[in-house]
Amino acid sequence: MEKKTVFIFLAILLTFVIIMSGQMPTPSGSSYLANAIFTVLSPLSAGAHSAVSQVKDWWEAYIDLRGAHKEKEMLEERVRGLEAEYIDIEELRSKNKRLRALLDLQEATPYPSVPAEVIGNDSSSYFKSIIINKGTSHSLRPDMPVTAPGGLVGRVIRTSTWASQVQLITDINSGVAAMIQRSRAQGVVVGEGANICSLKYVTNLEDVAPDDLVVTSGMEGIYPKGIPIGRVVKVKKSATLFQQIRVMPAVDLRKLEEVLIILKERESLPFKRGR
Amino acid sequence: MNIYLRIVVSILVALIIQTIGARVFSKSIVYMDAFLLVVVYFAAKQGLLTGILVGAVCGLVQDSFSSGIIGLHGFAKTAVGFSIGLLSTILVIENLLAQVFILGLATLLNGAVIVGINYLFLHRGFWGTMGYQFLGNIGVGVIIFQSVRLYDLVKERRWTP
Repeated sequence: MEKKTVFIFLAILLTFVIIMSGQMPTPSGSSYLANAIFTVLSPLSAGAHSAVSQVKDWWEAYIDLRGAHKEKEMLEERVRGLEAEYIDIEELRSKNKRLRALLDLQEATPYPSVPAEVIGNDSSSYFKSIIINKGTSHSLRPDMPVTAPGGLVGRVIRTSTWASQVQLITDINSGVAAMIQRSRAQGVVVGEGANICSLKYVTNLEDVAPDDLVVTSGMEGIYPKGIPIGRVVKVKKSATLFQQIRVMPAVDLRKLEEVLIILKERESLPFKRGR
Repeated sequence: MNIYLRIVVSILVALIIQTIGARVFSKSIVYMDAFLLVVVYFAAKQGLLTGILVGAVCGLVQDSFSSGIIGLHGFAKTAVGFSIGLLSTILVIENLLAQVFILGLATLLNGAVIVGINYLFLHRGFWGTMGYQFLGNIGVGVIIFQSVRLYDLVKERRWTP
């Protein structure tokens, strides 16, 4: 038997079945053929649906991704903006805190005073000084004491109309008449050229201990009495007459941003300087 | 650029670097002396007289913005300008080793004069700064010298027909 014949035969039979099926109702109301076809094809349909849904999901995800990428860029931009804003706010908050402390110091100072901003450092690393943005136009004169919240900074050594130079207490050539607040032992705080000072000319008999507060004694006529200079960090009795005392400044002089200049002229000595 | 203009601009740049550099750029700037580099550069390139004059001007400018004795840096930088100007006649300055040598020598001479004179007048000596400036000046100086040399070479090639 030829295959072609068999095929034609089966095709005719199927056609008949289809025709018959169309006339035979089922309890569910649809034809057997329809049911059969549905039964056979429904998994395919489900699979196709699933596949199409998957593709649709991928497409939507791709579209979303593109949108998300744009949104991400937008959000990143916004985050950068907010970060910059946050830094500005933090900077303002920090400045506000420092200025408030400076204002408190100004109110607590018994002398008239002028706040100033630090605008530069010493041009030589061998010396320690700062440049501030106030000068003779703000009544600043050489030898006026300079303080900051926490303690003593130094003294004005040079002035111009709009700026001044302040020698820090850590400068190698700086000297401040000082005393230990607890025992009242007197000496001179001199700079070491680094961020530390030493208290000199305190005899071995005087009572000095680590963590003692060192304050100005006012003996040299430049600094008012009682301004904190720093704390004793090391004491060593030496073979000479005087103790070796290291003092850590009360103010971190490397991070100064604002200072307060006390408008106090140098007190004249009760005797004439020898020639 | 005119040589005088180059000197003035270099001194101004050095002043800005030394005074506000540590606040605006980096605290590491204290490890070098920009004025010294200017003096060494011009003394080595232009010779003795320019070295001395640039040294004197640089030193005076530095003195004006420093808490040390006025004239201290002027003296030190003039001495450096003279020494390097003199050395430039016997050394090949383009050589890397020669640059290291003159920068190291200039830093030691500058530091010795500053510390020595300060000790002489005020009886206070301090050597710590010289140690770290020795390395800083050599490092930064060599980079600047080599960069300028490279720039000059590139410029020369560009204009060669």
